[in-house]
Order: sequence, then C-alpha cells, then structure tokens
Amino acid sequence: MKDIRQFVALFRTSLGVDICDDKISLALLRRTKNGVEIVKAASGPAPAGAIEDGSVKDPALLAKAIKALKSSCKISKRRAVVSLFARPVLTQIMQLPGNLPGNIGQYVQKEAKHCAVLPCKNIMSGHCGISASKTGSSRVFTVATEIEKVNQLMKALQEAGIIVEAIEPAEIACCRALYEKEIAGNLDSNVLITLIDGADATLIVFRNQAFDFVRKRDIGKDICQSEESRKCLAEEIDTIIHYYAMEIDESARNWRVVTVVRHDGRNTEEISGFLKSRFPDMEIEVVSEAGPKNMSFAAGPDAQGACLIAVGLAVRLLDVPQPKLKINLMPPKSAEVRVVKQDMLIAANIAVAVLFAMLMVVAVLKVSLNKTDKVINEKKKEQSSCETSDLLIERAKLKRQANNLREEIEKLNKLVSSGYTGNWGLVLDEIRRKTPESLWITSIAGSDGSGLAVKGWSTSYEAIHLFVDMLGESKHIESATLVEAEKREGSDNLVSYAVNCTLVAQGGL
Amino acid sequence: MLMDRLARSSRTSRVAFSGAIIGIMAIAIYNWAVRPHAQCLQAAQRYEIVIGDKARKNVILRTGEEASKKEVERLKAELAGARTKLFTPAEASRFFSNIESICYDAQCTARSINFLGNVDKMLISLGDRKVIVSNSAAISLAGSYGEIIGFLAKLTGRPQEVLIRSLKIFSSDGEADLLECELMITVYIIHDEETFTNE
Repeated sequence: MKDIRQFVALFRTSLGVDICDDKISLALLRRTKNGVEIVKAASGPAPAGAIEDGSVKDPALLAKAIKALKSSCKISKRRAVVSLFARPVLTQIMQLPGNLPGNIGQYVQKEAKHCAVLPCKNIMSGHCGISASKTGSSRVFTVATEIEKVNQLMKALQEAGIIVEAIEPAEIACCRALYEKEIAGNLDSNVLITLIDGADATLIVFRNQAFDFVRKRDIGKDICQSEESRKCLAEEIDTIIHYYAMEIDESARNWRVVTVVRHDGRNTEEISGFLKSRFPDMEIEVVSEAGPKNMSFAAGPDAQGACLIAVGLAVRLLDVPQPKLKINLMPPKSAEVRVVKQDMLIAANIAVAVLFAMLMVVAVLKVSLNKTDKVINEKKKEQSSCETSDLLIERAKLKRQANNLREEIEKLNKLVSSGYTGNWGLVLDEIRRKTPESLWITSIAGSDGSGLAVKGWSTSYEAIHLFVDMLGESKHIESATLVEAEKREGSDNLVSYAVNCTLVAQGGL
Repeated sequence: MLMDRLARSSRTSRVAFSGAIIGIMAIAIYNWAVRPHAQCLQAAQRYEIVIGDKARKNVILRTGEEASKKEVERLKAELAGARTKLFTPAEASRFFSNIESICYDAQCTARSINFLGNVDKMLISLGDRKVIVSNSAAISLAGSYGEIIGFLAKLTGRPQEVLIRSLKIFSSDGEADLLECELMITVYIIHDEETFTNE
C-alpha cells in the first residue's frame, strides 16, 4: 500500500491558485521522476468589482473569472492550494510562555484577538512551531485574519469548482517556491526574503535554512513607483540586519537578500540598483513574481511566466524539499464539509461499486438463464415428438403382446411335446443297421412319449449285449436297456430278449 | 444543509450512516434484482435436470421399445413357424383321405384305417380367435421293414406335424419278410373360433 502511495505520489499533479488585488494566477505542477515540472501556468486580471480593500466582495464574479482562466489554459485539476487573500492579516512570531499551554491553537487565537491589527474581530488563526528563541523559549509562527473574509474567499473558490486543500499566506508560498534554490544548502549565510505587495512588505529571515524571523510593514506606497518606499524598505532591511548583528551576534555572517515584487514587477532593475547601492556588501536580487529564475522547477512550454506564489502554493502538496511551514487557514467548517464530502464520495463510490457488482451479477445470471432456457427449449423440441407416457403405454402394449405370443408358442410346444416328434423312419432304420446278424427282431413297439420296446431272438447273449451297446451308441436313442434275456429250452438254444429304448427327445415345434 | 448536518456529526456516525444506507441499498437491490434472477436460474437449472432425466428415460424407453418390437417380431415369426406345423381343416381332411394312397406309394398294404375323431375337443384357444383341435387315426398296414420305414417317412415328411402316438411292428405269422405295423397318428388342426363353435 505504501509502495502504491509512493508510486502515485511520484506522478502527482498539484494546482496553486494565487489571488491578489488585481490578478489571479494559476500554476499546475507535476511531480515526475526527474523532479517537479511546471506544466501549465496562467494569469488573468481580477474582475472589477470582485475585490475591494483586499477582500472578496463579489464571490460569484471572482468565481467566474477563475473558471474562465482555468478553462482558457485547459486546467481540469480541481484540488488546489489557494493563497490567503484577505486584509488585514496578522503575520507574526509569538513566543510561548514557559509553561506551555495545553491547547496552543486556543492560546494563539486568544493572543491574536488582542492584537491591534485584528481588534475584537471574529478571527481565525493558524500557526506552526519554529525554532526556539535565543533565550530558549518556544516560538510559533502565527497567521490570523477575519473569518468572514476567508469564508468569502472559500465561497468564490467553491463556486469556481475548486476543492480547496489549504489556504496559506502568500509569504509562505513565496519561501516555498524559492526554498530549493535560495535557502536549502545555504548554511554560511542568512537569507532575507522580502515580498512586496504594493505598499505591504513582508520580510522573512531564514537562518541555518530554518524560518527564524518575520516582519510585516507598510512601506507607504508601491515600491515600483515611489523612491520613498524603496528607502523605507532599505531601512527595514537594515534594521533586521542590525538586529541580528546586535541581538543574535552574527555580525560576521553573510546576508543574501531576495526581494520579490508582486503584481507586474516593474522597475525591478531600478529597485535592485537602489538596494545594491545601499548594501554593497550583500548579495541582492530583486525579481518579479512572474517567471523568476530563482525557482528550481523546470517550466514547460505552457508555463512560461508562471507566478512564483502560485507555484509555491502548488508545491505544498508535492513531495519535494520545502520549509517546514504548514499553516492552513481553511475554515474548520469548510474542512469538515470537505471531509464529509470525501466520505460521501467514498460512500457513493462504494454504493456505485455495489450497484455495479449487483448489475454484473444480474447480467451474469441473465446470460446463464438465457443459456439454460435455450438448452431447455432444445430439449423440449427433441421430446415434443414423443411423450414419456406414450412411450410407457407403448412399452406395456409390446410387453403384453410379447407375453401373449410367448404363451401361445409355449402352449403349442406343450401340445406337441406330448408325443414323440422325432423321425420314426430314422429310428427304425438305425435299429435295423445296429442289429447283429445273429439276432433278429420279432416286434418293435413304441407308445406315446419316447419309449420303444424291442423284442426278438438271438443265438447268443453276446449278440444281445452287442445289440444293446450298439443301440446305446445311436444318436437317436438316448439309452438302451436290456430288460429280459432268457434261453429257450430245446435243441435250437435261442435266447429271447426284450430291450427298452429311450429315444432322444426332440425340441417340439 | 445535509452537508452541514453531516459535518456536525462524528465521523463514526457518518461511516455508520453511509454503511447503513449502502447496506440497505445492497439488500434492496439484491431482493429486487439479484434474488429473483437467481431463483429463476435455480428453477431453470432444476427444470433442465428434470428435462434431461426425462430425455434420458425416453431414450432408454425408446431403446427398450425397439428391443421389444424386435422381440415381438421374432416371436411372431416363431409363432408363424410353429403354426405351419398345424393343419388347416382342409389340409387335415385331405391328409386323412390320402393315407391309403401313401400306403400304396410306400408299397405297403393298408389293412385298416380308423379315424378316432376328437374333433370336438378344443385343446387351445389362441389370441387371434383361433382354436386348435386334434384329430387322430389308427392305421394298420403290412409291408417289409423298409417299406414301413418308407411309409413312416412319407407320412411324417411334410411341413405339418404328424405325431405318431404309438407304433407297433411285428412279424406276420405266415410270411417271414412281411411285417405288420399298427400305429396311431395325431394331427393338430387350427380352426377359426367362430367356425369351430358353429360346427
């Protein structure tokens, strides 16, 4: 399962949506085996009337513009990380008391409410832990704003068909976009990232690759147009560097300053020149948010001029090196609704799967039923010509007929076998042939059945015995028995005899 | 609205709710769609088995019928063969009237021929409204041994069966070569039942 997830994560896409006062920017990123690639990017003007005083006034109008921008650059991805577009926003690092509160979230919320930026407003806050202070006390990076403004933003995004995964400040997205190239591996110098959004400047310090300091300042006017604002920014930078030199005692450490100018980023060269002249010992770089070179991500042909903030937002969902700053200002209710929707979607999928499985089972049953019906019809057709009952009647009839015939044959046989059915001529001829010369027959008598009595005279007993033996060997006579033999008294010495023969039974008719 | 309500409930309740809905749906679909089909298929399969059994039985019955038909044919042929051994009334009449000429043909001298009758005694009633009766005759004749054998051969050498019930051959007192022969013969005559009853 883990392997599958890793495999899926390898090819995951992610969408970042950045909304500011005058512009909407989208960036679609894809994680490939070779790293992250910016697949598509698009920017468009925010519709007039949709945004006012740094907040969403007309969610429907904004939603329409986002939809149009998405469809213009053919981005179908719905899940996205969105920049926190609300004003005022509290962005600060809070030191936690020695005895850590049980619920840090509640503590942060309570503290944020007391902040001058958001006085007694219905606010929502997000926080994440950062490195401890020099004194060792725990610190949290906190972002808070009015909940109503976030809800308005959520409404616009929902209408635009975007499923919001997270809402985070543009500053964090900016750091995330620059992290791999500017911050990661930079151990010998502090990195100061400055995000200029009109008159608002957010200064973030990364020390030893870790988020360490943040300050949000109003520099008066747009830095692109105002010399005063540039001076103001330079002073802020100088203050931070001095603060680190004095408080953290890192005077010897190098500084790298990256300034990102939002909106159209005009006069970056001028601003860069100004800052370089002010801080000649430092590495200074001023870039526009549109298509900077400071990102380590390859940009596809459809992603030229991708918004740095939008890219940073999209990176949040990808498995790439990034600062450990995870703040989500999505309203808890929306998050819950999102979870409910996810659950409902899973349930719906399961229901569809069950329905589909049932339909498949029904289909299989139906096919089997049709096949069985076909077989039954074929068998019925085969049997239609003869019914079993007819066959049984016919069988009984034939049996009766056969029995009657057998009976008749038996009767006839019985009738005929009451007498000898053999050939008398052959029997008599056989007797004549078996008669020795010294013996003669005076009478032959046969009666009903198969008995035959032969009587006569002989000159000797031997001749009589020979005669009996010869008769016994005949194939027509079954047995011959000497019944009587008596010598006649007188001069001729003849012997009278009587032989009973049993004839071979014949087979009747 | 529903989403808000569901969002307020715990995840366990939601899972239980979804599970219950899916379960009810699955049971309902099973009862409405799958079960009738399954039962129908089961019934059809059972019917198929019954039809198959019936077909097998019919094949066996048909085979038996063929064998029975052959047996009946064989028995009919056997009976027909047996009936050829019986005389018709006309044949019997002709036979008895020809006995003397048979004696003459065998060069024997017929001394007497007595017809014993038994015509009115029905021996067997056959199935096809036929009856068998016997008719006997006592014959006395004289001749040589060979002539008597010849007479017997002629008497019995015919398709119909002539049963010699008794036979006695003995020498004549006067002549050495002349033998006397007394025999009683019986023949079986097949009659139509109606004709026989009327007679």
